[in-house]
Amino acid sequence: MTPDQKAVHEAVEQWFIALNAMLAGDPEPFSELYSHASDVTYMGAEGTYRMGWADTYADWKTQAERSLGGTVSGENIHVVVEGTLAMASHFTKGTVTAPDGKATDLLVRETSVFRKEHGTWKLIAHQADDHPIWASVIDG
Amino acid sequence: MSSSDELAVREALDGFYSALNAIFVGNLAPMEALWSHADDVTYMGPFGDYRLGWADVRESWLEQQAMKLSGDVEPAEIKLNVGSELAIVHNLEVGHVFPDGHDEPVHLRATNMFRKENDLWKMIGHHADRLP
Repeated sequence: MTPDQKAVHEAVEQWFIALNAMLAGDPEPFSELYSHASDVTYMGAEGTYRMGWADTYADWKTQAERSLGGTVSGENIHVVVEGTLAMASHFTKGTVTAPDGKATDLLVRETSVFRKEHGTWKLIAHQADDHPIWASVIDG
Repeated sequence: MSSSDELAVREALDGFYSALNAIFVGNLAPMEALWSHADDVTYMGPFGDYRLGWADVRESWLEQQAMKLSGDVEPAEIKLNVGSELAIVHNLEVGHVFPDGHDEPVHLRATNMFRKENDLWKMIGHHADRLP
C-alpha cells in the first residue's frame, strides 16, 4: 500500500468517526474532514443534492440536530488513488433510532471522493443511497 | 487539469448515457467500450447491487441488457471535477424507461468516475440511487 493509499484509507476511517459523531449530535468532525471549497458536492441519505461547502455543512448541521442516535461502520471498503484525487466505495451498516424510538437497521452504499489539498486528503464529494428511515428522521 | 481533459470527460459522460440507452435496446457493445476492464472498477446500480471488478460489473450490465427496458435517460445538474488522472462527476439522471411497456419515470442521483488510461478517459466507477 502506498503512503497515499494508506492516507486515503485513514480518511475513510475518519468518515465513519464523523458519521457517528453526527449521529450523536456533533457535526464538527465533518468540518475537519471536508474541503471547504465551493466545488464540494453532497448527495445525502435523505435524498438531497448539495453544491458547495456552505450548503453541504448546513445540511450536516441539520442532520446532527435532528438525529435521534445510532452507530454505523464500514464494510467492503474499496479505494482507488490516482494523482491528487481518490475514490472510496463501501457499504455503511448499523442502526439508527427511528422517529418512533425504535433502533432500526440501516444498510446503504456510499461513494466518497477525496482531493489532496496542501498535503492532506480532504473529502470533496459524497453520495449515500437514499434511505427512507433516515429521511423520516430528518423530516421529523 | 486541462480544458481538453474537461472536454474529454464531458464526452465520456455523454458516452456513458449513450451506452446506457443502447443497453435499454439490447446493445452491450458501447458499454463494454466505455468501461475500463480493470479488476478495481466498481458499480453500484439503481437496483442496489455493489460489484467489484470488470467481470462482475459486465455481468450486471448483461442482466440489464436482458431486461430490454427501452426508454431514454440523460444527465442533469452536472458537476465535473477533473484531475490529471482521475475525474469525478456528480449528476442527476432523468428520463423514462418502459418495463413491460409501462412508462416509468427515471429520477436518480449518480456519481460517475473516470480514469485516464492510455490517454483515454475510461469509466472506473458508477453509483446510482433512486429518489422517491
